[in-house]
Amino acid sequence: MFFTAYWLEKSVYIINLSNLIRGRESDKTTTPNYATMPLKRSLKQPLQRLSDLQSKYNIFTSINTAANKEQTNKPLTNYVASIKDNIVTKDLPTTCASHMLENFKSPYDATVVKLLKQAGVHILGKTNLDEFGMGSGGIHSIRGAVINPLYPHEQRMIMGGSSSGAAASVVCDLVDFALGTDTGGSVRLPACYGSILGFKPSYGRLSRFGVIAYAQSLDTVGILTKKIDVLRKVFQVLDKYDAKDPTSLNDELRGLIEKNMKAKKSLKIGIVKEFNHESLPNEFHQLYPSFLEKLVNLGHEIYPVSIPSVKNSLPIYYTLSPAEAASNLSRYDGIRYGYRDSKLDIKDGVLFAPTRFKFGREVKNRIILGNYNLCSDAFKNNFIKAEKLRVNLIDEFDRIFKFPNVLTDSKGNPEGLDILLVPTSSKLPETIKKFQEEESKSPANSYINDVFTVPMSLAGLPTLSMPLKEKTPIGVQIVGQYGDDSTVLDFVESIS
Amino acid sequence: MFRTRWICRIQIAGGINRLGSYRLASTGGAKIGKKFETMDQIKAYLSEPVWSVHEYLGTNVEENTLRLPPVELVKKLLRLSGLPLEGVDIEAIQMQLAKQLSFVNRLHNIPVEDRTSVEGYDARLMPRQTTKLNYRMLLDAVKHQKQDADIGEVSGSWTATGLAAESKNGYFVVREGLLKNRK
Repeated sequence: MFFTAYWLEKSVYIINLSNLIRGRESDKTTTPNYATMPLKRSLKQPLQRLSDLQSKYNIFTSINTAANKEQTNKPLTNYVASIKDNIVTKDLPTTCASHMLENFKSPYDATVVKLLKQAGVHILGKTNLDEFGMGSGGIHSIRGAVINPLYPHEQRMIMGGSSSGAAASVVCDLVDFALGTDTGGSVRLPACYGSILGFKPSYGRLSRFGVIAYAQSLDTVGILTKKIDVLRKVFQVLDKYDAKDPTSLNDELRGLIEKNMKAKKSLKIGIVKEFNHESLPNEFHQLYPSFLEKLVNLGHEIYPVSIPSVKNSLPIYYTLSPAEAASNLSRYDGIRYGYRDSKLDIKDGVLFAPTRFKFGREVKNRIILGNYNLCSDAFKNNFIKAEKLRVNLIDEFDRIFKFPNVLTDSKGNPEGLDILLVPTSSKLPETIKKFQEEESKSPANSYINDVFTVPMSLAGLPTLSMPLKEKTPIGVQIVGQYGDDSTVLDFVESIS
Repeated sequence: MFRTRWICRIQIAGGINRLGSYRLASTGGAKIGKKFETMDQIKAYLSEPVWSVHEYLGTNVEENTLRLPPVELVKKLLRLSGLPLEGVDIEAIQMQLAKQLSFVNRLHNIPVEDRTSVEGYDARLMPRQTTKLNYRMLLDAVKHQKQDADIGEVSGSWTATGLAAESKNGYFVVREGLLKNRK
């Protein structure tokens, strides 16, 4: 069965998406009539368009059309949001776009979901993704690939991943904002390909409690939207210490960051030498100078900067993240929850192999690589080496930023920079077919899509991808020092 | 600016500190150059790609030059990964892994910056300096500990086997047993 229909409580529906997609007569007991449902005004329009857009772009994994009749004056009342389907929700299934969790429903809400609900947000649905967040194209999903709505759907262009459905839901104006997750660029790349804003806050700022782990030393909840003022409001609601997340930034350090903050009109902005790649598309070179000229005219200062360690970021990332993934995904044995093989628990003498066989191809590839990196033969040369080089990278970022780093105790460079500008993607979106062909030649071809986003993930830096031109899939990342999320948001607001 | 002439100037400035206008921000690998004065300088800087990601990471190597990991290693990794050995294309996994390793093994030749205190655990994005716990702090923590029903700490607030596909009398079930027929 492609999608399951659920009947939950009195006013909560999860649409049978297979019916929507195929446009056939649906089961009247489970599929709501959008036109007559007592929906909030802000929800009516998106729901009417939903069916058509879903069939074209494959955005959602499940939909919640519950009418929120509560009239409130909460900070985000009347905002409609989507949630990436690797963030747990108790009203809707959480599948991670994987057979392994195909029918899984969490008994609790993730902290970020709880905070949004408390702030009055209506959650429209859960969005499609690369299985467990592993991919940069948005194609590795049991629900099928997400199609980029920036292009006619017949062209079948990739959305970018892994928060592919999250980005598509914003591009289509179905929601005011979407929550995604960003491990190595999974919010920023699809945001770039959808010509919208995609913000990965500093690691630890937003709670990861209830976010299904891919690589816990990198996983970050991110926000996608078209409007910077919406992004700020949502960030404000979610930016809180959470005792349930052991990596959450504590209140003492949040206080220190607050103390160090200084509003500035003119910023010192760095352009990183090592991000000048031969592979950048011509369209980027056409748009980027005008953007920089605008900044100079606004009184900002531009500096060249060299951060040599960024060149090592991809091999560091693809050593550490699969190792963490192999460990995290070892919990899917089918015994306690999730999919379980109907007949066997052991095959070829390997416990749980019949069930774990159902992981998708890309996930299996990364688990195998991760276990290689964790084997005693490779552990010292691969995993430990990658960790040490990650420290080098963090230290190099510390040397060029003015703002102190409360995690490393770096006092900040008095002559340092306020922000960096970095391209978001080395290529324009391509067709799903071409992406698959390239990936089948070598996994490295898709890994390289992350070349501009991974360095900031490794250092946990706040980074916002913004389009250089409206409705154009070319973006630039605004990068701040760890904890200095405000400067990034202030800057984007000042030029929007 | 890191065209050839700029790199040269920066290195001199770092060494003898007499080109005051070239502010150097660090003693390590990362460096900030002099502020751009004109848009032409910026355009010239941007127009010079400094490296090729494919060349640096060796992603454009021919398949026939790759060193394939042995079949036994692949089988060991499949067992460690909890994946079946039968019915899988071992050769394809060998090739896939070889391509991944040609990429990540670049790390072997990269020197770690010469700093005695580089510890792998500093790679975690957590405070590097932390207060040592003492006995009193542990007692205080225990004293103020509260059971949180949200995370299932309150007895009876959830059923452990409630989400299991198969269970018996409140226990999980492993059908062939945990120890039988295992390698």
